[in-house]
Amino acid sequence: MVMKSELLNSVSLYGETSTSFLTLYDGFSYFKTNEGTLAYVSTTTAWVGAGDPLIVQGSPIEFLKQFQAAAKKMRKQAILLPASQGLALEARKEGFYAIQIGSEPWLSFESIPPKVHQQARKLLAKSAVVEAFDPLKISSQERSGLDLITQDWLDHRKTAPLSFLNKIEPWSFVTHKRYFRVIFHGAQVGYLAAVPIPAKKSWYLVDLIRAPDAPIGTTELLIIEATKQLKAQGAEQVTLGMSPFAPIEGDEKKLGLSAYWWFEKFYDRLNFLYGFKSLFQYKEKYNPVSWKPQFVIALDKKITVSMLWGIFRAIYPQGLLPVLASLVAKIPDKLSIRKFYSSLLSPRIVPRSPPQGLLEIIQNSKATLILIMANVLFFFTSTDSNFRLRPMMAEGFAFSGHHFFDQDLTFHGAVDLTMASFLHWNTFHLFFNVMTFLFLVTFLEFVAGSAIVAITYFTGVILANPFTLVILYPVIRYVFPHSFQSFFEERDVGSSLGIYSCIGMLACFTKYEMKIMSAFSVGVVGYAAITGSFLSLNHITAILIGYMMGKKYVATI
Amino acid sequence: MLAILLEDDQHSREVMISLLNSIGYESVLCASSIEEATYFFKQNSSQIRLIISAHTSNMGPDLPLSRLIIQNRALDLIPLLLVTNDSMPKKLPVFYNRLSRVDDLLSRPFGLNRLKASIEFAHHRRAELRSTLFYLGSNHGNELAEAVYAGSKQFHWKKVINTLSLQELVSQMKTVGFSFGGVIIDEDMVTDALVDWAKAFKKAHLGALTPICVLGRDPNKIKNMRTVADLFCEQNEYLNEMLSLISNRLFYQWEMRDQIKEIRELIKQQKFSSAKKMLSKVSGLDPERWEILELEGSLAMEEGRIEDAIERFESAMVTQPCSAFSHLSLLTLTGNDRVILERALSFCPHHPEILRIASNMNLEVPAAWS
Repeated sequence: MVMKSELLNSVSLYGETSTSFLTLYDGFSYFKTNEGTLAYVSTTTAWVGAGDPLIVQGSPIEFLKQFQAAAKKMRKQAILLPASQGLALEARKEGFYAIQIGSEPWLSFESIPPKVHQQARKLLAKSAVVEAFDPLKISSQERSGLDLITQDWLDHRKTAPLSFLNKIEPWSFVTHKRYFRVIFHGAQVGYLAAVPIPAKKSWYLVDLIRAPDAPIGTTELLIIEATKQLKAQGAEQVTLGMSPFAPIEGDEKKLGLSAYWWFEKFYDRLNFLYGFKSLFQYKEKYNPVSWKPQFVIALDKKITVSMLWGIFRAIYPQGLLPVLASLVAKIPDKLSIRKFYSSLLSPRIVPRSPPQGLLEIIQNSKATLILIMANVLFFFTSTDSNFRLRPMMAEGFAFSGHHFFDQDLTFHGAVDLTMASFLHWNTFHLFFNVMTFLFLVTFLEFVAGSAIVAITYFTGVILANPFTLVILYPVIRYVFPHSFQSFFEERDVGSSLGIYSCIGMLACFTKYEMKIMSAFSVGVVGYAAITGSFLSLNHITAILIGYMMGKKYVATI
Repeated sequence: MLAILLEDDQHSREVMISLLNSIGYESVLCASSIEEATYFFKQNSSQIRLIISAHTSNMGPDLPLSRLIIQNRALDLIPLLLVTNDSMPKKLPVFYNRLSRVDDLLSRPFGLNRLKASIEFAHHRRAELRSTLFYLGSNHGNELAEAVYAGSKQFHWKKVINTLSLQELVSQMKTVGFSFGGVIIDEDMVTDALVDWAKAFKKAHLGALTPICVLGRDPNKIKNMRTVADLFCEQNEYLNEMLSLISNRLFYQWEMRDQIKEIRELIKQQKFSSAKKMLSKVSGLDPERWEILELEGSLAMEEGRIEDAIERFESAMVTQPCSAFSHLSLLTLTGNDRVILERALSFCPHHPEILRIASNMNLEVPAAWS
């Protein structure tokens, strides 16, 4: 049994890593010999050591061998993380397996760049206050307020409860920590707790908690103030803690371990699970004086699945199900349609405000909903009992080259073209068009308004087919003469010309004009090639009509 | 320049900041509430040049933001734009409520062009309210008053306040507040104290937006005002034309600010067709503005249209006889014509280039000028 006071003494004398102090929290077992002490968590398959051991005398590697032997007696494997680079390199020499899993940034007050200071100053300019505080001296109301912020922060993150060295216990060992908070318009909006690294005269800014609606600059202000005040109290540097899967540099990268390829993919691609990249970039903006690699050391020739499972259970003691549940809970946020649409929008146009709530969504998509209802209504009145377009309706109103050249190009022509757009061949045809209405035309209406949708839709509906006919007439007559007759007799119904025209207009409001235009055009060409239908190229005409209208409109605004 | 922005949506906010940055509002403070806006107004009132609100709480009939701005006199000159989703903004009651203080409604979606047009319109609306003229002098007070009260449609002036001394002028300005839009000064009233006051006045935001016209073209009397007066007029010229010139300077201050600079830059880079295109747009707004005439003269000179160039520079000097650039250009175009040189010497007696030309032509330069 190791007394906490004894441990505290060991940490003070020998704790050289940022996580040393955190091993004083509850939940750890301690492996102690004359050479040193190592905090660890015992899981079903492994003893997971928490960081570097506190070595009193002798070789750390010899100590780790004793730890490994003790774990083996209990039929457990032994692993430790996060370990310092020095220990990892020594471990490798002994044949143990060590791999870098992240990096830890170390800051000094002087190294923080002006841009970050500016962010903090902007918040101060808005009358925010940042101050050190003692949790034992603040009122119970203020303390409850901070607890509430912590709970909101945890709820907002939607993660399963963390353990091991990731516990949030801001009020443990209060007298040894330093605290800072930001007060904005009379309310506490964020706080920071720093733990000492006594042997290094440094501090680890371990808990950086802000209210979900805290103003921009809150965390920057906390970090700058903490770094400044801790420096005034004699600290040499502070650390923000490890950034998992941070980019690997230097000699370690040259080893070319296959695991590092995977880590790079996790860093780039798995940010929907955990913000590996954003966390690294956030810490990087403070312009750290150094990034110290952090390792996992498997006390064996290789790292095994049991060891990895041990690490998982050490961090997530409640098991796999809560973790999966938390991932599922994040899906609505990650799949936020609003965020997705905002990410597509052009940075040069201020769109209409996104609708809040169902009523506003309906109000802001009037034109689309009316068009959908009109299409559905016409569908039910123009189809037979099998929901197929009645031949009489197709004969009378479907567009064809044959029919078009019999018309005079007046109002009646326009009416017929419009009528054709409200007819659909079958249920699938209607369904497909309604879906594109809902996802694409609605988006245009949210961004640009009902009038734009209506004008663009009907322009596409009226002009796309005649223009296509005029453009393709000489091409088909002279290049594909055998298709000439069928081209003229081909019939077209459906709202897709209006929809494609809206897509062309929509492209002008996004960052991806050419990609959208190309994607839909290639799709049309592909469809035309598969079906052998020249007239279906009218969709390209429609999208171009919408695009040109869009370019003109956007240039005026 | 500093702009205050109230906008809830993050994407819209970022785009607006970017657009504002691109048209010269280097600093944009974002307020998330009326309370925050109040704080910004208190702390930065002398630096704010534009307020844009897309905040939903300002859309109601009470318009708390506009009431807040009305209460802060330091913001009297600052245009206020209200951003709406409504494509028919004139239907909004605010447009008919002249006390609302909103200068223009900007309906989404919009980009740079509409934003600029809205800001220009807002500046015009602010300028329109500045319908009082100050006159410092004793010779033309009645004539000016008659011209203004005659209700001419050439300009927007509604009132003239006559003052007989600098102290009276300054004191009356404080009383009238931001509603004065121009100052006319008799050349006989130009003193060192007045010049010092005018220089300080022009450095302030109000002064930068307020045209100063000197009545008179006696080189000895007006020379100290050449860097602060916006234009100079003959005492016996048609007053209506003069009042119209001052009115245009007030109205188009914002548009001209960057355009003129840009056109000069284009000419310097020898991009004459772009310069010409841009110049044709701005000259339609204020064709008699001496800066515009000078630019037209420069372009004509570059294109070899000597007669046109001479005519333009001469026209520029009608309202700005102290511009060394016009004098030097005319000297170049006329091959250092003696009469033109003497005129240049009288209005720009210390300009080194003009002195050099005079010396080369063996023209006697008064010792005081050398």
